[in-house]
Parts: sequence; C-alpha cells; structure tokens
Amino acid sequence: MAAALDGVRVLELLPTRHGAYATRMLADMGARVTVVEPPASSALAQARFEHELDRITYHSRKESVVLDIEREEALGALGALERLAAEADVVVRSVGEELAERLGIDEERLRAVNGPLVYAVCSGFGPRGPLAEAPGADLAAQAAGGYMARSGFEGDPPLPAGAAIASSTGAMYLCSGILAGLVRAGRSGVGGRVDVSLYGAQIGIQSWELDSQSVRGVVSPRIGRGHPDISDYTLCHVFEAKDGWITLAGMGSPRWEALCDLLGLAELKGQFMPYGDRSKWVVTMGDVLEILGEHFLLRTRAEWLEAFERVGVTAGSAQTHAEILGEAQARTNGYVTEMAHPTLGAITVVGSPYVFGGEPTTTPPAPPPPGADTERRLQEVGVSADEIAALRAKGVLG
Amino acid sequence: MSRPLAGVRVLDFTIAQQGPHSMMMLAQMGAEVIRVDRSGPGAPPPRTPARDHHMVGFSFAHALGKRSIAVDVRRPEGREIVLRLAATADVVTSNFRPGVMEKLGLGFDEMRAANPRIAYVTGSGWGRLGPYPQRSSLDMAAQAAGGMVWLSGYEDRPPQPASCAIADQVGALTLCTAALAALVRADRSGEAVQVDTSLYGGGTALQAWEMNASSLAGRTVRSGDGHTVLRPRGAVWRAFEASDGWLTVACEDAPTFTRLCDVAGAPDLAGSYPDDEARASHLEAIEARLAGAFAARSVEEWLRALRARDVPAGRVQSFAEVLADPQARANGYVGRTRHPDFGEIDVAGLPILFERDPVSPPPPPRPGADTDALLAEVGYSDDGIGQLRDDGVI
Repeated sequence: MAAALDGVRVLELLPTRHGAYATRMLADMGARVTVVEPPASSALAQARFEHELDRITYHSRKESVVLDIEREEALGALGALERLAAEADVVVRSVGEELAERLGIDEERLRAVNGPLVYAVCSGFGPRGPLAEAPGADLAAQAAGGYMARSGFEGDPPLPAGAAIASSTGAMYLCSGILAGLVRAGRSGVGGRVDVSLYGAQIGIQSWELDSQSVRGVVSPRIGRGHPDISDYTLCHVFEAKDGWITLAGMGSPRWEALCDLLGLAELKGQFMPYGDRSKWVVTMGDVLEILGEHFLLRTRAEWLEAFERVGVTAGSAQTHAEILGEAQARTNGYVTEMAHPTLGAITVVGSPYVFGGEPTTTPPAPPPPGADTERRLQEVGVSADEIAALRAKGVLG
Repeated sequence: MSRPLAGVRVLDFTIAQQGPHSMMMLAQMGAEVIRVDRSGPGAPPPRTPARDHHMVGFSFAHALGKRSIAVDVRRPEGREIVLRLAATADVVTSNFRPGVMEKLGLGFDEMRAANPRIAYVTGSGWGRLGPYPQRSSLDMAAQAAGGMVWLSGYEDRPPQPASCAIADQVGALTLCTAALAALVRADRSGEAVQVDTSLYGGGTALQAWEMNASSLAGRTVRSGDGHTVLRPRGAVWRAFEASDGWLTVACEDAPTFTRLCDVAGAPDLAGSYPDDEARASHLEAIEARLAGAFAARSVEEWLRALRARDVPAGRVQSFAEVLADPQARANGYVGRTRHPDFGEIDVAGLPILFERDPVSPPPPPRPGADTDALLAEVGYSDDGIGQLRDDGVI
C-alpha cells in the first residue's frame, strides 16, 4: 500500500520546533516536505537548525532548500519561493504576521499563486488577542497554560514537564488542523487557513482538568506523586520498586481487593475504598501509600507488572529512555526505529506512532544538511538553470 | 466558509479519554460524530456527576458537539444498525483491547464489506503488534512506560508524573491525526484504510527530541526545573520569582540572551558569556544574577519589558487565571457552552482555529438523544424503531 499521504506536498517556511515536528509527522505518513531554511548569516538564522540532534528529530524525511528571503535584494529568491508554494498542498509558516508580510510570505500573497492551499501558522499565543504578536516558547506556554503551577510538590518552585510538551502537542494539533484542511481541499477545493499556538495546545491537553476546575470552582492541590484531581481518591501514584519505579494507574474497589489479596493485605480491604465514600475510610490515603510502598520495594518492576496483570491491576514501569530505546514492543510497532546516519553511523531514534495497514512506518533516512536539495527542488518547480545561477551569484541560495 | 470537516460522518465506538477526545476534536472541526453508547443488559445507566465531583470535567470534556445513539451492539439487530450507519460514514473508530471489535463482528473486514471506502481507525494501549498488545493501559501506566515520568523532576528525587492526564490526551492527538490521515487517503484512493496508534506510541512521539538526545548522548540528565536538552546548551530556560509571582523565561540563543541581559539590567553578562559553551558552564551564576534582578519588579512589568525586546516569557498562571485570560478567550481556547445540567459554563475549546475564527464549544449530548433520528435516516420505520425499543436493542 502507498503511504497514507502519498502525493501530498508540504512547504515549510522558516521553521520552529513546533511547526517542524508537525511536518515531520506528515512526512512520516508519506507527505513530501520541503523545508526552506535561511542562510547561516541571516538575521532569521534561529530558523536554521544547526544541532544535528534537532535536524534528526525535526527534519528527517524532508528536503532542504536554503533561500535568503530576508534581504531586500533577494526578491528573486521570493519568486523561487512562490514557485515552490504554487505546487504545494500545504504551506506552514512559523514567523509572526508582521514579519510574514514584510517578507512577502503572508497568506494573501501565497494564496494569490495557489488558491486551494492549506495555509498553516504556528504562533506562541494565537492569532488574536493582546498577545497575538508576543514571542512564544514551549516554557512560556507551560507557564501560562497552568501546567507548572500544578506540577511538582507544594512549596517547590513551579515545575515544568521533563519534555517540551507544549511544542510537541502543538505540533500534533497543527498536524490535525492541516489534515482537516486537506480533507476540505480534497472535497471542495478550499484548503483555508489553520492557526495553532503553543499556549492553545497547552490549554487543550488539560481540557478535562480545566473543565473540572471551571465547574467545581475548587483549586486542586499540586500534583506531588500522583494526579491533582484523582490521586486523593484512588491509587494513581508513583512507587519505588526494588530496581526502579512503578506507577499504579487508578483502580476501583474490585481491583483494590485483588491487589490486597496479591499483597497479603486482606485486612485492608474494607478499610479503604478507592473512588468510594471517603468518610467511611478507616485508613488515610497516606497510610495506604506507606503500607504499599513498603511492599513494592521487595520485588522488581517486571515482577510487579506481571503480578498486577494477572489480577487485572493496570500499572506501568517508569522506563528510562535507554530502556524504551531497546524495548521490544516499541521497536515492533515502529515507535522506536533505526537510522543509518552518514557521520553518526547506525543510531536508534524515535520513529512514528502510526501503524497503517498493520505495517510499522519505514525507517527514516537521515536528515538533509541545510540546502542539500536547493538546486534540484528549484529546477523541479521550473526555475531555470540561468535563474538559479543568477540567484547564486546574488548570494541568496545555500 | 464551512468548517473543514463539514459533510464528514464518524461512527465513534470509543471509551475513556484517548478515543472520545480525539473524536470530539473531529466534531469541533465540523464532522458529524455519532457516539455509539451502550444499551441493553449490563449497560451502566447514564448519570451526571455532582458539580463538586473531582472528575466532573471528564464527564463532558470529551463529548462536546457529538450526537449519540444508544444501541446494544451485542445483539444481531444492534449490529445490523451500526453496519447500516457505517455504510453512511467516512470514519469508524474504536479503542477497545485488540480483538473486541472483531468479536462483535465489527472488525475491519466486516466494516469494509459494509463500506468499501471506510477509514477504520483503532486506538490501543500498546500497539497491535509486538509481544504485549493485550496488556491493559491507562494514563498513568502509559506516562510511566513512555519515559516522561522518569525524565521529569529533579535528579535526586523520585520520578515525577505530569500534572494532567497527558498520555491519554496525547493518545487522543495521535488518534485524531491518524483518523484524518486515513480519511485523506480513503478520499484520494477510494479504498478502505486501516490505521492503529496507541498511548505508548503517543508517549514516545511526545518526547522524540528528548529521547533522541538520550540516544545520541548515551545518557540522560533529568529535566528538573529546566530542560534536558536546552540547559546543557546554555539556555536560560526556567522559572524566576518576581515580586508578586512567577514567570518563565525561554532564551536559547546569543542574540536573545543579549536582549534578556539588557532588560534585566545586567548587560555585562552578555559580554562575559557570549557563546553557548560559556553560558552552559556558568549557568548557575548567570541565573543567580538574573534571579536577583527579577525579584525586584512585578511579573507584569517583566513580561512587558521582555516581550518589547522579543524575549519569550510567560506568566505562571493558575487554572482560574487561565479561565479568565483575555488571550485564551480571544482565541477560543476557553469559551462558553451550555451544559444540559450545569447551565452556562466556561470550558476548554478546540485550540485549532480555522480562518482565524474561534468557534464556541458546542454542548455535550445526552446519551441516546439522537437514536430515533439516526435510525429513521438509515431506513427504519417508526414501527421498526418501536419494535427495537420494546426488544431492548436501543
């Protein structure tokens, strides 16, 4: 079977990690993605990913064109860019509205050369409102979105997630919006415009917790080792095992009783009822966590997971990255994969979360160095060899 | 302009958060999403939790804008109903353990027989391939397995879970993108498409950058109050306490660092630590100087000054502040809806804008609210519907 997005062409302009990860996901699903990067000398050089880690994560399976569209004399470069835009189904842009207009890559300008285009925009705080042009970043969104104030333990400074979650989930929301635009473009010939911000994504991934706060009006405690809204009611916490850490993922009374039997704690059954009437609890949540904590220290994570699975208790092992990178379930589904890299050799990298038609996603090729595909891509969209030579003489190609 | 998924019909068998939230996203993008609710013996009666219930938001946050049909799919008559609906749908989604839909006679082959252009989308806990596709999963199990629990928090402290059900929600995002990519493919090829994605796969995709960093370096520094990749690069990427609260600063390159130091009244720092290596090896001293400066003024003053110089920064807000934030409201990230039991309430909206036009979140359905209308649409007569109801199928 051809890849799901076979035949879809994406043009990405001056990327941030937010937009670049969305288009990487599209590339993994079969889209042909061309990223336009600035030259190293450009004032916009932060859109050029120099660390190979970043290129591997964000630009694998893409083609790279270096065009200097920032300088006044680079008008020829803009013409070349418009030809790339004319053949694309999707354009993704990661600079603000004012800069986009100054550079000539705003929606109006590109729609003039390609009406049905899906025109997608990444921003820090959204296209409307007082912060529409404010500079954004993952950590600014984690703060403003309410995540950091709830994370960590009471008394500690606000704590971010270990990963750049607003950026990654912003990419996933953007990917959804782009694909919805492609559905519309395919059915009605109108791609339209899509806007996703880091702030919006951070709010979106907390939808039900935020809705609870809205309806209850009660401020949840900081998360500690559980979940702010759940772990006062059921066992949804991190525990130490003999060789690392495990989590219990929440349970009702039947599973709690099974867990008590498993641990030889039958006397606790009637003293604590997860999700039940807390006024009838004989022991506190703190007592239960302490008692279970002592037991869990005695066996390994794998032993516990096997025992829990037998009695229907849902649990997880707090795997390290090294463990996940070598883990059979992740490997078999293509969530983790290998890459043959020209200088780093065979490396293990995160793959794709999608399995189409029962087949894991194919191994990604190494990312292109900046400008690896400049001439070939420009020729493909009809820029002549003479024009390319002239652009190169002006110093606007890389 | 119509919503992008206007005219798309989705048959939604999903449960919990991963599936229901993803299908709600499709509904808010304009699709007609028909949630198949349980009916018949053993089906729990629909109930609304109390306003003060700790998970009250969970009861509607994944349902906004859906239609609902209540049908006992274990009965042959019930199966017939959903197959007739599938024939009119573009997408069918479920997230039971692998094998459950097949046992109900609603697997890919049966659905494709009913509709040769169907996008057949499944969410799972661990993926349908590999050694343990049948293992049970929930958010906290997937958070741990995916590595973010261990990555988060300080080196000398236990692993730190996320302050929201992030594995479930990222599972919803990957399921949503999977469904839409399958729909693009089905539309373009005229053929049925099958796709699976899982909580575990979402968890690894969420941290692709950080996990690739671990792979390339052969070791991992836990993120603590910064970030595992960025702080070793000399990025000032953390929270600072101002005179009346906290803000974060996200500065990862030399030009931004220079502007940050100017704003903080410490321009000498930019001269002393001009490159990534110098900043990385003196980050604590740099941040101590900056912390001293930040303590002297309010969050609002700092945000205004930092943003004026294009330095990314954010206020550490509580949920109450998020709900009241004009920026969130202007973009529809928070909006008002009418809940059938709670009346007018503020809720999280779809954070994807089309045509820069935020849409008010639609209300959630009552289970079974659309049963009769949908049955009539696929050819059941009033008498036939009455009979199905008397027989306990709907």
